[in-house]
Amino acid sequence: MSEKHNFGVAPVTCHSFNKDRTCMALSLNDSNVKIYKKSGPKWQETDTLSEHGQRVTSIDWAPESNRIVTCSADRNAFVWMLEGSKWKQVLVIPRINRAATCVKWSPKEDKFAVGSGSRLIAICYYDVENNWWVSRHIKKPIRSTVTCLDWHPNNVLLAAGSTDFKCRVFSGYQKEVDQKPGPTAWGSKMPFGNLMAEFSNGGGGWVHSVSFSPSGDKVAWVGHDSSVSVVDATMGNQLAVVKESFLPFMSITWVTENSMVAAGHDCNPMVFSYGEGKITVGAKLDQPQEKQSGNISAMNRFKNLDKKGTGSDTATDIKTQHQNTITQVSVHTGTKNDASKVATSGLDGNLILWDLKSLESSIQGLRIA
Amino acid sequence: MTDKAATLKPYLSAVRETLTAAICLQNFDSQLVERHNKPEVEVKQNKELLLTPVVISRNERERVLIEGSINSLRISIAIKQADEIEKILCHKFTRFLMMRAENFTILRRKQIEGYDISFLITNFHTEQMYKHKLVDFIIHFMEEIDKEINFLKLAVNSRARISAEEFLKNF
Repeated sequence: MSEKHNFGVAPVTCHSFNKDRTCMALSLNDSNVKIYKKSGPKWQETDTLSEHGQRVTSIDWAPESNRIVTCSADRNAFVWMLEGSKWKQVLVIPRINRAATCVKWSPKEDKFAVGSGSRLIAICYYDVENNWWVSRHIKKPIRSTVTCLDWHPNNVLLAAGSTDFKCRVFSGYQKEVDQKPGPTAWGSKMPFGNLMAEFSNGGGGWVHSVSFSPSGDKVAWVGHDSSVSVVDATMGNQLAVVKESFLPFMSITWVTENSMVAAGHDCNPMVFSYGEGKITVGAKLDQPQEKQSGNISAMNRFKNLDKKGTGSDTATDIKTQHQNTITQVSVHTGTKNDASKVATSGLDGNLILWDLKSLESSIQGLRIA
Repeated sequence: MTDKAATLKPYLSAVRETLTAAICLQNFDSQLVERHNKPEVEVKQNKELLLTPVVISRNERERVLIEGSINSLRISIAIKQADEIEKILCHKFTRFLMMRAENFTILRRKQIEGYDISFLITNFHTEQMYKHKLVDFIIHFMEEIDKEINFLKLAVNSRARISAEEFLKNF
C-alpha cells in the first residue's frame, strides 16, 4: 500500500528518480545533493554532489540522457553527467540575480527551464559551438517570484506559477533546438516568450505547483488559498476551481488524463478528478489506522505527568504517515498517463511511495480513472 | 465568572483555528536582496507576499493580532490588565520573558506596538517542530499568562498586607 523511507530529521527539499527508479537524487535542506541507490528495501547513499554554495531548491533527473540538473538559492544551476562512476558537473549561469526556485528538463531533454526570485524564467539550452549552456529569459508579465514550472509534452510550451497569484502558459520555443511546433489547443503561433494564456482563479493565493495533463490540453495548479484549479484549453480555457476545508496544497501532479494527486500542509495526499468542466474531491490516500486507545496504566499516566505535564493525551505524533508538510509529489511508477505509484516527500525527512492500484481497491470512494 | 469562562473557550478556539491556517509556511528566498532569506512579515517589502492581518478580540483589552506571510508569522497578544498593579506586573513579567527571548525560540525580543508580547514563527521553526505543538504552546501560554498574573497579584497583595501589619505593630 505505502512504503516509507526515512532520510533523517532534516527536511527533504526535493527529490527526483532516474529512469528505472533504481536511483534517486535528493537534497536534505542544505547545499548538497545526495545520490541514493536502491539495495533491497533500503536506499544506499552512493554519492554526494557538493558544488552549490547555498540551499539546493530543485533537482530534475532526465530519464533518457541520464543527466541531473540542480538549482540553488546561490543563483546557479549545474548539469551533472555520469562519467564512468563519477558525476561530473557543468556550471550553467542562468543570468538571474536572485535565488533559483525550480528547474525542469523539457520532455526531449534538450533544454531546461529555471524559475527564479528575480521574477523571470530562464530557458537554457546547450550551444555546441561555444560548448556552453546559453540562457534566455522570459520576463513579461511576471511580477513576483516564479515558484513552479511544468513543460507541455510538445517540448515548447511551459506552464509557470508565481507568487503574484497567477498561472501562466508561455512559449519556450528555441529556434536552435526546436522543430517548428504544430498547433496546440493553447494556440498556434509560438514565438519565444509569448504569453499563451494567463489565469487567475479569483482568489489571492500564491501558486505553489502547476502541472500539465498527459495530453497537454489541461493545466492544473494549486494555490495558497486552499484551492485546486484546472483549465481545459479544448473547452475554450474553461476554469474549474474547488475549495474545501483543507489546508493549502504544495504540490500537484496528474496521474491519469482525468485524475490528479495533490499534497501539502494537511500531510495527506488527496485525489481529485476532473470531468465535464468540474473538479470532484476524491479520497485521502492516507487512511489513519485506528489505534486501540484503552485505559492507560497508572504508571504511564504518572510518567506522562512527569515528562510532558499532561496526564491523558500521550500522542505527540499526528495521525498521518507524513509528520510534516509534504512539499513534493512525483510520479514514481508509470507516466502521468497511467501512474501506478506516486512518491511524496516532505519536511519530516520522509519519502513515501503510494501504490495507487492497491489503494484504489482498499479505500472506499477512491476511483482513479 | 461563568460569563468569563463562556467567552474564553470560543476565543481560544478561534485563535487556534486561525493559527493552524496561518502556520502554512515555506522556505522563501528574498526577491529583493541577493542571497538573503528573511522573514517577510518583518521586512514588509513585498505586498504580495503578506497575508491580511487578523485581529481576534475577546474584549477591548484582550486581543490577538496574527500577521501572516509566505515564510513567517507574527502573533501579538494583548494581555488583560484591569488595574494599575496588573499593568505593572504584566510589564515586568513580559519584560522578563523577552530579555530571555533566545531561550524561548519563537519569542520576539520586542513587542508590536499596542500589544504586550509578540511571537515570531518562521519556516525554520516549522521545519524543526511539530506545527500542532507550536499552536498548543501559544494557546497554553495564553491560558497560563492570565492565571500567572492573577497569582502574582494575590501574592503582592498578601505580602503588602503582612508587611503593613508588621509595620503597624510598632505603634
